[in-house]
Amino acid sequence: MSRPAVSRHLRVLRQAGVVSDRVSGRQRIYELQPGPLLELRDWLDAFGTRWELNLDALETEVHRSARDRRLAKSDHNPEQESA
Amino acid sequence: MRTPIPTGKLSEDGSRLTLERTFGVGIEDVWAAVSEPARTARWFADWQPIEGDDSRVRYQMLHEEGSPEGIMTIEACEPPSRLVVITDESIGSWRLELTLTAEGDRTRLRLTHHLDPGIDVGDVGPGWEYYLDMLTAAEAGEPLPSFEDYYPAQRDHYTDQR
Repeated sequence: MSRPAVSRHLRVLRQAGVVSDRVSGRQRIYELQPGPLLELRDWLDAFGTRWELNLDALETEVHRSARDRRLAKSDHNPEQESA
Repeated sequence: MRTPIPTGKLSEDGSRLTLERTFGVGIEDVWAAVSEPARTARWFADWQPIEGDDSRVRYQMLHEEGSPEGIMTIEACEPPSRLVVITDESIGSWRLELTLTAEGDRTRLRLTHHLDPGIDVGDVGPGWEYYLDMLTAAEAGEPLPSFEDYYPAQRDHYTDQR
């Protein structure tokens, strides 16, 4: 990777708060800051849980519709129910 | 700024990357721009000698995130026409050769990067285009270019030559 490309990546990471930098002698040390990543993980976890709940609700709804349709059918043709 | 057009050429055997720029000033002036610390600071790095070491200098890249420092070995210094340096491990021991040629009242600068195996020319090529345009802009007193205009836009120009 070229030096300017490294700079660009470090700048974006620093601005996003994912890394922090400090000077140590003649070196500059970049350190991963887990805070923003943990925030992201929490958000994704909550997002996933919500969708799981939504999908569970959808599944229940689909079963209910199928049952209702079956019941409606059997009301019209009671003989088919036993067939 | 208009979109920069990539110019670099990879040698047939893939061992050398060459880029050229022409300046509307004399060779002494271009030599100063690539060798005097106050001038190199404008587009690349400030540098100073290391005490007791005739062949190496310490430089600090002033236009990069965090202004990283490094050490360069001067392999050849023949004013005003040839400079060969080897960068330190921090960016990968690159052997870089600058040659200046007077052409009337203009000067042609040629940068040759002697590529070690495993170097991704698609990465370093756009970096050099950017740095030579930094030099050109600094000498012309124009605003410095932005690396975003070079990478990844110029990547294919280099990888297609492999």
